[in-house]
Amino acid sequence: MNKVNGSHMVLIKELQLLFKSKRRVFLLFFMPVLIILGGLISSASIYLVDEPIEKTNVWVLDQSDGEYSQDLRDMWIMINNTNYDTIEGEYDIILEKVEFEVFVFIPQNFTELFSANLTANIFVYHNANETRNLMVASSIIQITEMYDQNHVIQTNPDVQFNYINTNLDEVSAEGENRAADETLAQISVIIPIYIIFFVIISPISLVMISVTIEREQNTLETLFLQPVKRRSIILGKIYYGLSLILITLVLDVIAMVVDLFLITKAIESKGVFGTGNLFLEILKLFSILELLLFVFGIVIIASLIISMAVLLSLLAKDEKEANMISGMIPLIIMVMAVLIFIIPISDMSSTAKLFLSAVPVFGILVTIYLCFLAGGIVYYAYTTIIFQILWFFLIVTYTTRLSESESILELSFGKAVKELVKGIIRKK
Amino acid sequence: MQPIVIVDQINKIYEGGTEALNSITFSVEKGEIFGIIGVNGAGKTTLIRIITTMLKQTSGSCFVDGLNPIEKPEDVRSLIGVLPQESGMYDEFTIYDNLQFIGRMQGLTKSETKKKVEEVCQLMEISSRIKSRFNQLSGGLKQRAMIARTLMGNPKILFLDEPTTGLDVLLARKVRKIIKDLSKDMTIFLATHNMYEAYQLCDRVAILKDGRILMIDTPQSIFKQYKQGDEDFEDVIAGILGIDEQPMQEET
Repeated sequence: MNKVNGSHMVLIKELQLLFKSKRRVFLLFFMPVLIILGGLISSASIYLVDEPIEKTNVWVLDQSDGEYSQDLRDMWIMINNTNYDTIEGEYDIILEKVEFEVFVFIPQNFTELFSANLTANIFVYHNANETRNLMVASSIIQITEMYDQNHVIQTNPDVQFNYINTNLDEVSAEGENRAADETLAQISVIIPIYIIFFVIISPISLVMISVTIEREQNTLETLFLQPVKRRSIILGKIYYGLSLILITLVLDVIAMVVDLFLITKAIESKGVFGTGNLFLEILKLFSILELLLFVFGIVIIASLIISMAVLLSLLAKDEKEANMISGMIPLIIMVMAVLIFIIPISDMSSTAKLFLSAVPVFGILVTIYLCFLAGGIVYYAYTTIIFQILWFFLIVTYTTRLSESESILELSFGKAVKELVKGIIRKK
Repeated sequence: MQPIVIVDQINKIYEGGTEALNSITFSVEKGEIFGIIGVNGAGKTTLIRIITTMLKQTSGSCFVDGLNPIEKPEDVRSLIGVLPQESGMYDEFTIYDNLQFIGRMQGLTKSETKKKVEEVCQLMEISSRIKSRFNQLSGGLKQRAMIARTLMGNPKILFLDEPTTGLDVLLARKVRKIIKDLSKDMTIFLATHNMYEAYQLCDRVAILKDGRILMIDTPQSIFKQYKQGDEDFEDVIAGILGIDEQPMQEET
């Protein structure tokens, strides 16, 4: 008799079963289809706007040599519904006149400070008579903030001012120059959470369904009666979840690129944008290492959640309990996102931050927040990846060990905890 | 004769304190059809699950072809075929897909699996429906496909848990014939609450009540020993189990 690669066989079986069910295939393609649908609706709504969008006139007084400030201005032009004029003149006189809608002043020392990795400031003013001026000013500030550290000060009482980057000192101390303020960093954590949801919702549901169906059709017992290590069956289920994550990730990225293409085309057709490709410009904001860490982080976090889902679905005593668990997982992630707002992470000591970065799933969210806050990759990004990988292997090992127990049909949450405690005591 | 299954003083107490088996001891000879008879909840399925590595006994030991299911679970599983009460087949797969998957899990190569699938389907007379989805089959075909699945790994011992439950009289008769034919090549462990089936098929039966074995003997001997008047085998077993004296349990 040949040596059986049980996990490989289970993986193939799961993928075959997946494509035998229209409902499951629908679930797999649901998220990318939804993303494309969202893009279609957005671009269609842009096409359908008949009235020309009122544009805000932005004056830019650039006293630097334009080496870095030109990049910033390209970004503002792309994203805002604006007309940009480069103006000449005296800074103080322009401010006093208050004839502008939005006025941006880039001082002479901008390039010098920027290239020396120091805090480089730009000054953004808007006329408070029109709300849209504030929106454009905020937008300029946010883009700039992503691109380069800046803060805006008030010099003229007639003009509304914006002040960002409240944690300027801390950021400067870390020597980074692309930091966001605390609230923005907290809000920014929602972006990866969205992506995590896009990536994990379908795989989690499909993995949980696969175990639930095995229970329903009593095939779990048939599987465990095969002459292979039970851990290989569990690993097969986890491999299935990981394959689904990769499929979903690829499909979602394709869908997002399609969306960005559609929306960019729609906006360009209205003459709102200047030049370039929005997607590529956004990508340019990040280094390759940052993007790789981000994608790797999402894959790790998704794998961790999948392995937890397999463990929990094994422990669930029936379909109802399994469904309840699969419904709770996104809820738990949402609660974690809320915790980012509640816990004063930035005020914590390095040890406490390291400890938080070690918490499964939550650690990655904490690190993303810290990265946004510092404007680049922080030390915790590496430690959390190591911790999350460790958690993944720990959960997989625990699950497979639990499945090797002879009482596989008697597994329950209570029993799992008992086994865990017993294991710890035995080790001690 | 040489015992192929030895069960020695097995006790099973479930979490919560329910005693499912109490000091179960018996052995099954190679090549015989050994029946476990008892009413629902007597402990038949628990006993099968312990011998087939799915459950762990609270105390006692058992051996399958000299192997301890706790120490060598994979080796024990490679010797046995198990037909559980519920289907255990993938509804969305065809008979072929189901058997092919099990064949591969049993360690057969692709070509060996194909050959084996043809062989067991021919034996079970289901070759013409091999490409039908399992959930589109009739009860009888399903049962035969399930038996075919248990044969994919060339088992030495076949564990059948209520193999004719839910089948009509004619189909049950056909399945019984299949079991009889299979017994020529392997040992069969049959759990049933159908006394007629036990009488007709089994070389020996163990009567199980509330997790205890009341007696082990040939059905003919039990019948001869306990028969009163014109009682049939079912009446005799009912008398031994005291079923007629027990009040009907309320349905929940």
